[in-house]
Amino acid sequence: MTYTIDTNKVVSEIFNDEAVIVNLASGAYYSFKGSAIAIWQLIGAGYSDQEVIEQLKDSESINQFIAFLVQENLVTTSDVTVKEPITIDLQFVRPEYKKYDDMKDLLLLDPIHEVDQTGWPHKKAE
Amino acid sequence: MNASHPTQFFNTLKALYSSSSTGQSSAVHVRLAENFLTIHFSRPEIKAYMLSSLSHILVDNVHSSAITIYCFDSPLLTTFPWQGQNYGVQGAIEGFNTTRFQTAYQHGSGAVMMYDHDTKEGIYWVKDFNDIPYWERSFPFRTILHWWSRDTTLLLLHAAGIGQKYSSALLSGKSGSGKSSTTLSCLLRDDLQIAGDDYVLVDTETPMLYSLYNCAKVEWDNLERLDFLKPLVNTNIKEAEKAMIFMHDTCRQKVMQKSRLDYAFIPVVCNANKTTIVECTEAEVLKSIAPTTMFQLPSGQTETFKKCIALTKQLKPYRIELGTEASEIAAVISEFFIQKRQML
Repeated sequence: MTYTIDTNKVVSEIFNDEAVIVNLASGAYYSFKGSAIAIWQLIGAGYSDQEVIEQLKDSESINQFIAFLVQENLVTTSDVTVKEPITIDLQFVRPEYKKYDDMKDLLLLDPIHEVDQTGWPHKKAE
Repeated sequence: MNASHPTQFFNTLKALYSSSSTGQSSAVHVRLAENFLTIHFSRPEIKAYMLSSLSHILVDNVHSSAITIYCFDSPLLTTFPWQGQNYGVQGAIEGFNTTRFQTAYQHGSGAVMMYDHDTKEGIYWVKDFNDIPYWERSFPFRTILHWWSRDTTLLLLHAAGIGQKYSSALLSGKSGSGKSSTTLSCLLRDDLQIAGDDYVLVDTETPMLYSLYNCAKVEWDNLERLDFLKPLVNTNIKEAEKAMIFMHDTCRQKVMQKSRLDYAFIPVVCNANKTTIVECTEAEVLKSIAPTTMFQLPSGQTETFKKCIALTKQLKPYRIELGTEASEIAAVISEFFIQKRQML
């Protein structure tokens, strides 16, 4: 199985020891450390889950992490088989990943107003 | 062009501004980083209400403005050319955000804001200016200025800015992180100034910090602990959830107009005996500045993220593990800047 990162919905930046990922649709953002960074890069470059496991040699934690990426809508399954050349650290370090959802409230549509037929918002009745 | 076209709606609003204007001279000019903003108010009452937080960067005359905003209230706009399902995140209106135009409805005030990237003109309309909530006074026109900054190297950053004339730092963090308390502790030191406590303008190419709003906000409960702030609080705005301090009115020497930006500080409440400043990572800084800036304002999230990355990579990242005494926090920050300057 290969995956795609939709860069219109997900943006990321990779530093030496941590990757920061932001889901633009949900407002959630993530910190990836250890081999989570390499997995993210390999998937983004078009490697399949099996190829990632071959590269990093730890199927259980890699499968768990990829399942997390799918669950969080950070990647979607893809038919693409073209791989981009990539240079990464292939020494396996247990993937660490953390989700932050403190921005979620900012993305909720305004809870105190509703909109009438003309498009004009009105304060909801108490 | 049909009735729902943003160009037509923009022109409708501009025409409404002209018909609403009292005819009294109402234009003001504001320094906006190295540029100027001209704001036309339809009547003096709105001007007085909206300008407090910008009063420190008012200028008398300008040769040309990088952006012009028309600000007015009028009850004559009674329908919008969009439907309920068109309201998006942060009030952005679907179909009215194009490569040229940006449009958002501001919940809370009922204001409609538009910006034309081609003409660099913005519009802030509200039915009755008495509906404009107190918090808009602390950062007036922030959405329009965010849209304008998208065409520049500037970023309207959701962070505080502190420091000295020749060097400064961002202070970024979540609500409750101690950001405001740390920022306002700088009022206790003659050698420290504040560029802003909530939003600052930052040039992301050659890091410079610019003051935009001189209003600082603090939780009413925190005033007991930070009692040096009590004489500075604007007591005319008691309905506010937070106490408001217009620094240009009460302690104008403490407002820093601009400074070279060198550092990013992430405050952490530790309730320790002593405040400590320790190195942290660029990733920590990006997490503390990017999401909160990206999701506070409508549209441009990807560009904002890229600007935050560019900025982060040019700043030296630190975490401030906060003690409990404001004077001690300020002393440690002061010592930090002194030491860094001596090392140059």
